[in-house]
Amino acid sequence: MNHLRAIGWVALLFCLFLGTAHVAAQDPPQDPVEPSEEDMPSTDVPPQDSVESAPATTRELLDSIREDLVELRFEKALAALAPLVTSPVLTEEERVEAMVLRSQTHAALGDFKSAEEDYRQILMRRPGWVPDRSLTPKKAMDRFEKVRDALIGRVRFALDPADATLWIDGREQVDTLEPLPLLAGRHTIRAARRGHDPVEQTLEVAAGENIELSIELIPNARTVILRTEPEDVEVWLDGRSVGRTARVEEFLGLGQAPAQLVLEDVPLGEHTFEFRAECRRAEKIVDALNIDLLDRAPKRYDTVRLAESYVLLTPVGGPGGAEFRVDGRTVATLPTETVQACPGERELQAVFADRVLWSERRTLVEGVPQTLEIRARPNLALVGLDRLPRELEALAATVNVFPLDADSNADFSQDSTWNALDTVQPFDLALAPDPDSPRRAAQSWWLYSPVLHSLDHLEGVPGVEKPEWRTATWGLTLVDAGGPLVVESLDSTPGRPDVGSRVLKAAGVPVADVSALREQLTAAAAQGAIELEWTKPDGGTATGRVLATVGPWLRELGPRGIDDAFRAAWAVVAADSQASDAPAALANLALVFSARGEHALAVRTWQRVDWPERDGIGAGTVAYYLGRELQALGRDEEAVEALRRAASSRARTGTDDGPPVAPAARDRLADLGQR
Amino acid sequence: MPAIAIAAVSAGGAASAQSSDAEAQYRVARRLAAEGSAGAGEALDRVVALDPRGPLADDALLDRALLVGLPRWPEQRGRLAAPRISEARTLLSRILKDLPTGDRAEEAAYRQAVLLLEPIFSFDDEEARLLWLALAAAGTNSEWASSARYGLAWLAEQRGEFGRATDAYQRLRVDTPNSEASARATAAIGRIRLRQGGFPAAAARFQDALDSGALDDLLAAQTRALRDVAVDAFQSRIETAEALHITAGTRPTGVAAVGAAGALIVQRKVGLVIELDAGGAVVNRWTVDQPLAALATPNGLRFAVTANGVLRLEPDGGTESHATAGAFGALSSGVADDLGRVWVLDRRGERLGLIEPGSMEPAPVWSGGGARLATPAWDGNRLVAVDTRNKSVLAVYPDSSSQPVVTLGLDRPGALAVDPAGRIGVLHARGTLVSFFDADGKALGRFSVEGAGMQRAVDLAFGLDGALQLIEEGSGLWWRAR
Repeated sequence: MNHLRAIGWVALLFCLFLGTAHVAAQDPPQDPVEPSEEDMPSTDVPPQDSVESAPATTRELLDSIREDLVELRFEKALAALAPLVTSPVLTEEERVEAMVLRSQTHAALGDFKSAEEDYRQILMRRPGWVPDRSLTPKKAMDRFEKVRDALIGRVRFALDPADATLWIDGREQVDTLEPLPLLAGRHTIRAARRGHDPVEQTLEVAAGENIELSIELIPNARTVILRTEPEDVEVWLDGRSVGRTARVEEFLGLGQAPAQLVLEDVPLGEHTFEFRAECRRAEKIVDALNIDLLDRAPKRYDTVRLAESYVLLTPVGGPGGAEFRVDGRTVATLPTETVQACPGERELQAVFADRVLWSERRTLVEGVPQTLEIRARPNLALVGLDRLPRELEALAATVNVFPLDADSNADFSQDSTWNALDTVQPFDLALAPDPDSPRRAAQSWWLYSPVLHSLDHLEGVPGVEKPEWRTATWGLTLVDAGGPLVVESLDSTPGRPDVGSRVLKAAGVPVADVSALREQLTAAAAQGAIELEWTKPDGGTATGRVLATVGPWLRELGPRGIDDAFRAAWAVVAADSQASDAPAALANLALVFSARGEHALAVRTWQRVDWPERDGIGAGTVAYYLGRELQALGRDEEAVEALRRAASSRARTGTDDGPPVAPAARDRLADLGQR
Repeated sequence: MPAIAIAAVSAGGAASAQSSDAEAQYRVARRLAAEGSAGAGEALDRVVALDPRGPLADDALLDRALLVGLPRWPEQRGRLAAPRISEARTLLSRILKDLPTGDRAEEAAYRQAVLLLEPIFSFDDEEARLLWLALAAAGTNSEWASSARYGLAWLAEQRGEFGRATDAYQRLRVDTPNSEASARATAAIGRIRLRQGGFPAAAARFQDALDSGALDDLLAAQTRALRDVAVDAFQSRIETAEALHITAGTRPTGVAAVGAAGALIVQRKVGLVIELDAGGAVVNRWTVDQPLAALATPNGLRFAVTANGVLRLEPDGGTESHATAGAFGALSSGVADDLGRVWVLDRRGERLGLIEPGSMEPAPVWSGGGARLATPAWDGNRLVAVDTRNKSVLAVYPDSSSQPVVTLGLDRPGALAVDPAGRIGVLHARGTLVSFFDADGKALGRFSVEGAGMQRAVDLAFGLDGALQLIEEGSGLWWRAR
C-alpha cells in the first residue's frame, strides 16, 4: 500500500509538472471575465509586504512550491499558495498557474471540494481549460466536469467567407474551426473582412449548451483584374494611379498571357479605369462595378489594347550635323525632314559638339504635328528656381533655361560665388534672384556672364533679342536736297542711280526726303532688292531694281553691363554653332572685350575672325582692330604690322558702307612714330 | 611712442573732419551753381579753402572755372572776355599743378588747352597741342581723351594740314562711333572735303553728321547750311532768288555774313557795326570809330577793321583791341579764320599782313608788285581778293606765293566774297553785276544787282549756306538770296 501510494505520488508530481505546462501552453486565456468576490476562496491573505518583502520572485515562489509538492510538502505548499493566489502583483498567467497547482494539491490531498472550487476559478479565467484526464483522479475529474457543465457553453462558428476575422468580446480569435468554449452569459461577436460589410451581434450562451452560429458577411467591393497589351501600362483608377500591369508567367504552355494588374476590393459603384503608356494612345473603361452574391470571383475585363501613338516633328534650321534629341535620346541628325516622338511633355534639344544649342520642353499632342524652329541661343543657368517667373517670360522665349541647384545661403552678389559654381551644362548667362529685393517692388536679379566674368544687377526685363550680326547696305549715300540725292555710290553696276541722281520713288512709293527713302530701304532689306525710280543728272528719268548687299555689322556698343552680357552670350552661341555669321558675332564680341579693357581677349577673338580681303568690312577691318588692341597692349611692332595692312586696305567698319579704316590706321601709325 | 600714435590719430581725425566739412560745403556750392546763384563761386572757393588737397578740391576748382562759361569744343572759343579767360586758366592751372592725380585732371587739361586757343594775348597753340597729345597718348577711353583727339584734328584742320586732320577725324569715327566727338569729326571731314572741292562727299558727311543726332543745335544748323552749299556746288547751282530785302541802316558800306542768314553791317560814316539776324532784326551793335570792314568767322568770332587796327567785337556790345596796325601801317580791310588769325590789307591794298592770335600787330606776309587788293576772303586754303588795279582776282597762298585766279571778264571789280564751297563772287561793273567763279576761276554765272532792287551795290557776302548777300550804300538796302 505504501508502495502504491509512493508510485501514486510520483505520478502526481509528474502530473503537477505537466499540468502546469499544459495550462501555459494549451489554454491561452479566452475570456478575461473576473471572478466575483464571492467566487474567490476564503483564504487568509498575508500582509502585502510579506510577499513583497520576500526575497524571491513570483517565478521562484512558484518553482519553490512545485518543489515542495515533489518533496510531498503539501501543507507547506498550500500555505505558500494561499497568499500567492490572491496577490495583486501576479500576472494573470501566474495566477492561473498558482490556481492549477492549488487544485492539484487539493486533489492530491483528497480535498475535492476545494479542488472543485479551484476548477471553477480556473474555468472562469480559462473556459477551455481541461485537467489532464489521465493524471487526474476520477473523483476530481467528475468534480471538474460538473463545474464545467455549470459554467461553460460551446459555440461553433460558420463564417462566410471563411477567412473573415472573428472577435469575441473584443478579442480576436485565431482558430474558429473548432467549437469555442465560452462562459455562460452574453457575448459580443464581431466578424469582418476587407471588401465586406462587417457584422456585429450579441450571443447569449447557456452553460452546457452547444450552439451553431453562421455569420455571412455581405460584400461591398470586388476584386478586379485588368489586362493590357502591351505590358507596363500605368493604370489609373478614378484619377489616381494604382499600379502598372505586368506579365504573369506563361501558363500551361498556352503562350504569353496579357499583362495584368489585380486590384483587390475595388468598391462597388461606377469607376473609371484609365490606361496610359509611353508612346501609346491612352484608353479608358468606365464601368459600374457590382457583385453577384452567388459568384464572388474577381471581375476580369477584356484585354485593353493600347495602340501606338506618336507626333510628327519637323525641325527647321539648326546647324548641319547637330543631334536632335528627345528626352535626352538622339533621334536624328540635322538637317532632317521629320522625326517621330511620343506624345506628352518632352524635352527637345539640338546639340552640336556636346553643346546644347536649343532646348525646349513642349507638350506633344498625338496627331498634331509640330514644326520646330531650331535656333541656337544662349544657355541660361537659373539658380534656385525651376523656371523663369512671369515677368521674365520674354527672356524665357529666347534662351535655353537650365535650373541650377545652389546653396541657398550663397551670396550671388559676389563674383567669387559665381566663379565657384560647378555646372554640368556650360552656360552663357546665369540668373539668380536677389534676396534683397525690396518688398512690394519688382523682383530684382543678379545676372552673371561667364564670358565676360561680369556681374550686373538687373531691375527689369533686359533686351533679349538675338542681335543681328549682319545687315543690308545699298551702296548709296543720300542727302536731302529737295528730295533724296545720291552723292556717293559704292557700286558702279549699270542700272543703278548714279551720283547726282535724285530718287523719286521707292517700291512704287514717292519719297520726299532721305528719311522716307530709308524707311522703304529698311522695309525692303529682307527681300534684298527694291524698285527705284529716279531722275538722272542729265534730267532723264530711269527705273531699276537695286540690289542690297548683306554684310557684317559691327554694332555700336550700348551701355555697359547687361547689353554686353547678352551680346557676348549670343556671340558665343553663333561661334559655337558655326553659324554663317559667326565671324561677325566674334568681331562684335571682340569689340565688347575691348570696351571693357580686355585687350588680350580682344586680340585672341579678333584672331579668330576670318574675313576675306574685300571692300567694306573685311580683312582690313580685322587688321585695324587687331592693331588697335596690340597697341593697347604695348605690342607695338605687331601693332605696326597690322595697322600697315589696314592702312593699305579699302576696308571699312560698322557696315560695308561705314567709315574707312585706312585713315584711322594711318593716324595710329603716326602715334607709333610711323610715317 | 604712445604720444606719437596719439598725435597721428589726432591728425587723422582733423583731416577727416576737414574733408567732411569740404564735402558738405561742396554739396551747398553745387546746389548754388545749379540755381545760377551769384554765390556759387564763393561757395566753391570755400570748398578749396577748407581742404585744399582734398578729394573735392579739383572738383571745386573745375566747377568754379565752368562758372565762367568755358567752351566745350574748340569751335566754341571766342565768346569769353580776356579777364574771364585768365581767371579760368588760373583755376585750371591749380588743378594741373597741385592736383594732377585728381579725377578731374584730364578734363582740366583738355579745357586748359581750349582756353589756350582763345584768340587773345595768351594764345599758345603749341602748348594746347602738347596738352592734348599727352591726354590722347594716355591711352584711356575716356571722354576727354577722345575730345583731345578731336582737338588735335581740329588744330591740324585749322593749320591746313587736311590729310592729318582727316585721318584723325576718321579715327574718331571708327573708335568712338555714336559719340559727340565722332559726330563733330564727321562734320569736320565734310568741311575739309568741301574745301577740297569734293562736294558730293562733303554733302554725304554732313548728312551723316546730321543723321547721328549728336550735334549741338549751333553745329547742326551750320552743318545743315554747309550740306546745302555742298549740294549746290555739286550741282553747279547758285541760288539768286530773293529771300529778304530790308533797309539795314544808314549808308552801309560793308557786309559780312554771320552764320547762314545773319550779317554784320558796317556803317563807316555813322561809326557803327550792327548785327542782324536772319529776319533783319538788330541783335547787337558796336560803336567803332571809322570801321572799314567787319569780319565774322563761321564759329562766331567777330572783328572790325579800322585804319588803326583790329578790334574784337565782344558779345556784350563792347570792343577790345585785337591788334594795332603798328609798323605795318594803316589798314583798309581784312579777313579772319576760325582759329582767330586775321589777315589785313594795308591802306593801298598792296601789302598783306597776318595777325596771329596773340600777336599785337600784323606781320607782313605778302606784297605784290603792281597789284592792289581789296576785300580779301579766306576759303580755307588760301586768301583771295580782287585786284582792282589789274581787274582780276588774285589768290595768295600760305607760303606767300600768289596767283591770279580770274583774269578776264571783270569790269572794275570792287568787292569779292567766297562761299564755303570756295566759289567766288565778284562785285564789279561799278557795283551793278556779280559774277560767279569756281575756285579755279571758271565762270559759273552772273547776277545783276537790279535783281536785288539795287542800282549799285557796295559789298557782298556769302552766308554759310552759300546764300548771296548784297548791301547798297545809298538806299541802305540789305538783300539776301535764298
